[in-house]
Amino acid sequence: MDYEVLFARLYPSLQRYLLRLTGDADVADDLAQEAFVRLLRQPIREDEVRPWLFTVAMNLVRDRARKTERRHRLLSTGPELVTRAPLPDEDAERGERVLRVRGVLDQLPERDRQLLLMREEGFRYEEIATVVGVAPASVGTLIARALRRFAALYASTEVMDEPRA
Amino acid sequence: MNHAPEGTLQAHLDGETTGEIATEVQNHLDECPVCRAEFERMRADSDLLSSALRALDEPAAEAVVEHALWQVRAAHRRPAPAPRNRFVMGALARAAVLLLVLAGALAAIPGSPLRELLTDLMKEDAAPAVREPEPQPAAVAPAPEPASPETRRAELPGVALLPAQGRMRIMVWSAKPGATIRVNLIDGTRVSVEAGSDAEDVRFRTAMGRIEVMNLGHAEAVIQIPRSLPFASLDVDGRQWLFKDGDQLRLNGPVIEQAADMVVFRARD
Repeated sequence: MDYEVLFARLYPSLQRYLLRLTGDADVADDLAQEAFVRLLRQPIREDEVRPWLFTVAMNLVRDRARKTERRHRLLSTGPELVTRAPLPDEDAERGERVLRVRGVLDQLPERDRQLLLMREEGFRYEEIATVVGVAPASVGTLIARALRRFAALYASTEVMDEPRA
Repeated sequence: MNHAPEGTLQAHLDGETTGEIATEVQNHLDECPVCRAEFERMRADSDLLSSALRALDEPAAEAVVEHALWQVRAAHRRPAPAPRNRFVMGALARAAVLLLVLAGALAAIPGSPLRELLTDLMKEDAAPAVREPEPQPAAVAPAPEPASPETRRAELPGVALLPAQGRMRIMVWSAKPGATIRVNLIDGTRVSVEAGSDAEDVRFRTAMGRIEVMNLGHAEAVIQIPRSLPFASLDVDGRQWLFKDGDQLRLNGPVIEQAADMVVFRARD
């Protein structure tokens, strides 16, 4: 298995998936790299690498979410974190769209997010079923419902932006 | 007319139906306006999702993938922490203590075989039974040739990026007291950032118009900024140390050395 070729082929997709899932580029980079480090330490058949990587990445996302929640509970009386000021040349319109899409994704159940994002990365239903942990025959129905939920939530944010008559 | 289940329509949209099933579904879609409308609605929802998700993506510079690979290899070279099994370690420790106690008890009994063995060992002379070979002087290895500046530079971890719309923001994080950051103004077009060879934990992240250096620690960072770059800034742990506006350089950080085309900062306590 040529690791560098595999990395070049799979890293952008995994990083993009994690960025879309978490909304945080730094976290996405960290977790994608961690997943590949674990791949180096574990022999996996080449045809199993992609679903394995995404499964590991999803577990890392969950672990991180648990630790963050615990830290927030412990530090609930701590000072607020200072966030970065946006660059002067950042596209405000793009920023609003990002917030809107993130808001909708965050309202979806975790499984819906996983299903939709893996589908966007071109995974077959069989692979999605393995990573998400559902029966392969149910993937189509689950995706259809998740898509419908996404579209309905997205449309509802559009209605709220319209000025009242 | 029976309508196609939504799961089947979705699978057909996603190219998951094959052979006879794909043909049957397609024939049904050609004949059933209700399912056709549903199928088109699913396609529209799918396109909406794809378009919406693209808004979240940041452009993946080639440097990002290259340095991600470098990070992964560096992390892999560090030994993985050995799993600690407290139960096993505790049991082994307890067993060792028990053995010592038993051995002590046995040795205390007059006439016991263990007591006799210990007595004999104490009586043996110091000359070893087997003569060890004389140690040979170690072969003196020739001193390695010092790396040329070019070779050293090629081996240091770093990134080089073209500015975005005449701007570059460099952000350094976790700079510990004593860490030095050297900024050179150069001829050229790319902004480059390198970390010293002692920067084991340093990581880089890049995006359009931005280079981040994580975990600098006590190491040295060398930043090269093209003289011709209209705007550039250096932030260290959230504080702006340098701002380049055309030909002007505003220095707000702890400067220890400065020349026409160079400034060196050193992080304080």
